[in-house]
Amino acid sequence: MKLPATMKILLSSGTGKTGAGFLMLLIAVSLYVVSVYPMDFGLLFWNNPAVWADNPKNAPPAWTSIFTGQKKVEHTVFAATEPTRVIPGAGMDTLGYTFDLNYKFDEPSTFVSFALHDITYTSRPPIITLLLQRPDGKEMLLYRHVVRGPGPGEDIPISRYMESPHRVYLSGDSTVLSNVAGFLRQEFGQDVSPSDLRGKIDRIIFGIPAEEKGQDFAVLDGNYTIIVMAQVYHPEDSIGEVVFVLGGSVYGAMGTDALGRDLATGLLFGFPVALLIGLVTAVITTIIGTFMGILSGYKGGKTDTIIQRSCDILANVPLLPILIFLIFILGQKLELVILILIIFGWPGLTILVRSMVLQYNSSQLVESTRALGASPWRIMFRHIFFQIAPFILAQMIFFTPAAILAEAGLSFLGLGDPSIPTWGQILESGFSTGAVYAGYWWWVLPPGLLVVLAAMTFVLLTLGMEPVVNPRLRR
Amino acid sequence: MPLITRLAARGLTLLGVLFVVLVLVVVTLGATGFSDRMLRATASEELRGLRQSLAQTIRDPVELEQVLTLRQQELFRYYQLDRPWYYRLPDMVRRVVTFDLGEARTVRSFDGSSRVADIVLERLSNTIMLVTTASVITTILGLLIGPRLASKVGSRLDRVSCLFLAFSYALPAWWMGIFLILGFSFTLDLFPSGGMFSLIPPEGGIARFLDLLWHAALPVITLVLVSFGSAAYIIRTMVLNTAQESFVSVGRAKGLPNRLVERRYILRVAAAPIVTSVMLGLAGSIGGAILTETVFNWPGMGRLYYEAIMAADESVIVALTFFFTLIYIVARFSLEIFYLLLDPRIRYV
Amino acid sequence: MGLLEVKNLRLSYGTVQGIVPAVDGVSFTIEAGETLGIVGESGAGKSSLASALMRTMPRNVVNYTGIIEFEGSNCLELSDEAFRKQIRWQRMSMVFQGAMDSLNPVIKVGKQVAEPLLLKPGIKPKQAYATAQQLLKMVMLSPEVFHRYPHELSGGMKQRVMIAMALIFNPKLILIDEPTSALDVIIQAQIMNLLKRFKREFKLSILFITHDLALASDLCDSIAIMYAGEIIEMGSAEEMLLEPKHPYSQKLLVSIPRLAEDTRPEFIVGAPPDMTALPPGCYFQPRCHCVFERCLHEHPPSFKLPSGRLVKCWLYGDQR
Ligand SMILES: Nc1ncnc2c1ncn2[C@@H]1O[C@H](COP(=O)(O)OP(=O)(O)OP(=O)(O)O)[C@@H](O)[C@H]1O
Ligand SMILES: [Mg+2]
Repeated sequence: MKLPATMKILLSSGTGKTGAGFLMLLIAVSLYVVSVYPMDFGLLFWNNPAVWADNPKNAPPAWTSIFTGQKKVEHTVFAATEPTRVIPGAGMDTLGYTFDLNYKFDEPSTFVSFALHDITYTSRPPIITLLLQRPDGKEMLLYRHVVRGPGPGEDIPISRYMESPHRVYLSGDSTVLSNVAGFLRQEFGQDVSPSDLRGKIDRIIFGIPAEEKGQDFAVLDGNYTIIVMAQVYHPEDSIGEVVFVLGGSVYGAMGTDALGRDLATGLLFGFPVALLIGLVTAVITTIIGTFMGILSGYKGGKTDTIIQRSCDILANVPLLPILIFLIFILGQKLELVILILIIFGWPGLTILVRSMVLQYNSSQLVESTRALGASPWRIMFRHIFFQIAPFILAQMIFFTPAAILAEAGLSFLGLGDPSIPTWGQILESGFSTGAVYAGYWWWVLPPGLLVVLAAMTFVLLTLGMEPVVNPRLRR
Repeated sequence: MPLITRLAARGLTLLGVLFVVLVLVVVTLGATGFSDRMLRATASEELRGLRQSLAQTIRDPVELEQVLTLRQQELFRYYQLDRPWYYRLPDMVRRVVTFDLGEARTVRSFDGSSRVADIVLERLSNTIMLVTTASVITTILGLLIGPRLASKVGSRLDRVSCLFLAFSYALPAWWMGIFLILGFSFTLDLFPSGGMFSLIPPEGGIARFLDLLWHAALPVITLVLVSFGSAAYIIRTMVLNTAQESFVSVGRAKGLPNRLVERRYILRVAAAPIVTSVMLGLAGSIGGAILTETVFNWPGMGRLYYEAIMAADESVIVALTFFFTLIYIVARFSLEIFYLLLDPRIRYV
Repeated sequence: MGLLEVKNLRLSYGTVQGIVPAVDGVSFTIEAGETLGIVGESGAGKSSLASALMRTMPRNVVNYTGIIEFEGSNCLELSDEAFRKQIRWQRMSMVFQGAMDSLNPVIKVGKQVAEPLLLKPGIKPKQAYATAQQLLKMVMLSPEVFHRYPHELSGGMKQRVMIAMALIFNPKLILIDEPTSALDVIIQAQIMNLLKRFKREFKLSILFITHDLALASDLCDSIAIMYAGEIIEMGSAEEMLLEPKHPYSQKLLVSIPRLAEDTRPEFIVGAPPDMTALPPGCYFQPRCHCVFERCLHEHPPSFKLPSGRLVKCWLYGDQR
């Protein structure tokens, strides 16, 4: 049967159509990810805690606010590499960075952090000031930092915060505490000692003293402006990046895990990986299986016996225990998983293909081509292969989910490849850290759902192929 | 005679499987240096014990060291650590086959034994209990649903069910388990989230049994949900193929009631191929059991896998791999016998 | 009144290509003790006719109408259950085409033969098995066949088992569909002799389906020729063999190889018609050697010749 005809039958059924639709989706997302993500995303980002340090831990997705009715603070990162404006002055310039924040939540932030990256200066160390303009017209000095001066024997220009940024948690910093205490005294006439403000900073920054009893501060919604001023004393001096983080209790589209990792990015990265695992395994398994099957069925004799005996044994090995053992001993590498899946996968197909070849072997077509003097290889691959091609295609599609599911299961047992994040691994980290028992559903449900989606796609396609393979079911 | 031949052939193949797994395991262990490390660890464990007991009697440290070095050489010779790993292969195979599986590094049995054989064997029954219950329920459901779908092939019910069955096939056991824990344990608090008995098991046989059932409910449901889809689908297809055979129309034409035709002419004939497909699904069920036990903290061999991986206890992993293969082979062989009983074409030729 | 009277029976299948009118307005009568042969090429609708009579049609039937009067009761008015309980196998039974896979592979032969009888209330298993054993003997099978499974029998033996099975209730009418086509000549002759004997001894009525006109005339009292779902000619066996009227029957007759004469058998030119797209006018017209204008546009009705012969051909239109 020709490929277009196969496609037509496949797309004529609901299952086939759904499967094809899902496949398109998988491919589209994968292509997007491949074009946007770095190849070493796993090591460089996913498994690098520094990247995620600023994120809230175990935060549910932002859209859950819709259901709970309470407007939770959505985690937001403000970052800038270039100043918004430069104010020239005598002997020094002021670099100004501003960020607008529309605060419309029912609660204070969970934390606020401020970070400086890559500062270079030539003569005097720069002074950086963080200010907040509030909707009630008041301005609040939060933090001031003088970059450490040159040490003995240090060469000019001097670089600071190159390897790791200068990061302050405003919520707990002692200078911030006294700044805020000053603010309270000046603006609201409240006299509090800085140490009493520990743990209350977020409530004060985004609030006003409350009228009602029992509550000391009420949330103040409205437009805030975050202002960062840097005084530099040389035109060559530069600041790599300033980052202001509004710590939320909800995060992005898919929430975060216990390390604060943005689950959406990990889940997206899982798409091409799953597709790769499934397709590479299926294609290679099918090629080997078909080749050996045709060889075995067509050649017969000793070749046949040897191939069949080996297949009988290999195809009957219980896969998961062997996978666990080999991966545990030989190392957690994705290539190895794929290799093992192939080694134990091809014999099943070979047995099937052989029995089909035996049916066609004596068929008139093959007999007559043989009589015409066609070479055995030609007969084997041109004539027999085309006869059984739709069946083989169906088998290939059928292998794909098996590989995806096997890898996911293995990852779930803690044997995933640490350099390549997969859906199974995301779920495993949730399971092993007790996310299930804490009810962090956004962490454990989506990865599994995606595995199901990917596997479903290929199962549906297999079902759609059924009438191609089994003409009796054609309607 | 052909009955015996066939059984023997299948038995040989299955033994071949066991052998291949065994060789794979020992060669991998040897070639990667794992077995060296394991044996050295055992030897030094023994030496440490010896040092402690000898320290009481031999006061002179130099003499003590001499004795210990002598003993170490003896031990290394005994474990054949003085020769390349491949000389030890036959011995390793023999030890595995006789269940002489050594000591676990960190994992312990429930009563504290560190012998690998103890650790694994005490969990065997828990695994078998779980898998058998789930398989029986799956088979019954498959037999109830499959033929019904076959009789309505092409209908909307059939198509919708096929979608659902596909979903069930695509459903990984671990995820289903987590889903059920979140739903029925965390949110609704109807079932326990894991374990086999309550922390303080109730007194009395019946109460204890009910406690067990309560704990087994979610794991069994998980296993059934993930496997009955393919079971029902396979049975549907087999029944469909058989129903088109001409002897079925002959049976109808003979005036036999429909139910009898379905039972004796379709199901009975399709039984043998159905058993074959159950056999092919067996490896999958074992995989499902490993993952389900892990999720539900079911104290079986599957959960032990997870614990051993987490504790990096290789001797337990080796033992489990061997045992799972063994269970699989025994189950396969029983199904082979069952198959032979069902198909007269092979039974009496 | 005949044992079986069929009037204007129609049976069509629905397929992707279109509607297949496999039985297209067939009428005939079988008297008690009479044997009617249905002869036609492959695909003419012979098996479909038999399945319409036995109500064992496949699922995709879209039209099933007409009158089947069997021993005075109109079968089409009976419910499936009533038909099963009153008529099927007990008074009208059948030997199916393709004995090779007509037997259940997992049930022993004896039980399969006795099976319908075993289900009758008031009949002891022993009795039923004895009857089955007797029937097997009657079709010249050795008693030990009773305990064997179908795959242990040869094609000819299976065919005998099928015949024995059809006789278990001692029916009035038995439909036999191509009982010999897969068998070699000697076995074929043995089976034919068996049928002849039963016909004589039990006064059995037989509807004998074959593609072999000679074989039919050997056994049957009258013969109907089927083409594209219709009976195009029907008459007594001797006359049909001596003097076929319909051009198709004539062709069919000369296509029989004869040992005694040295005329070469002729093949009928052209292929059997595509049942989903039948030609206009007479269905045989594209292959007919006597075709004339009228045949191309009008479908011929059945003409009754003075001899009692029925022919569906415009050649005989004026002799009405
Ligand atoms: N289930 C079915 N669905 C659709 N078409 C069918 C079905 N069964 C038979 N046919 C078609 O109906 C026509 C008559 O078939 P039938 O089996 O009655 O022929 P026949 O005369 O018995 O042929 P043969 O001598 O080969 O047995 C053929 O064209 C066949 O293709
Ligand atoms: Mg026929």
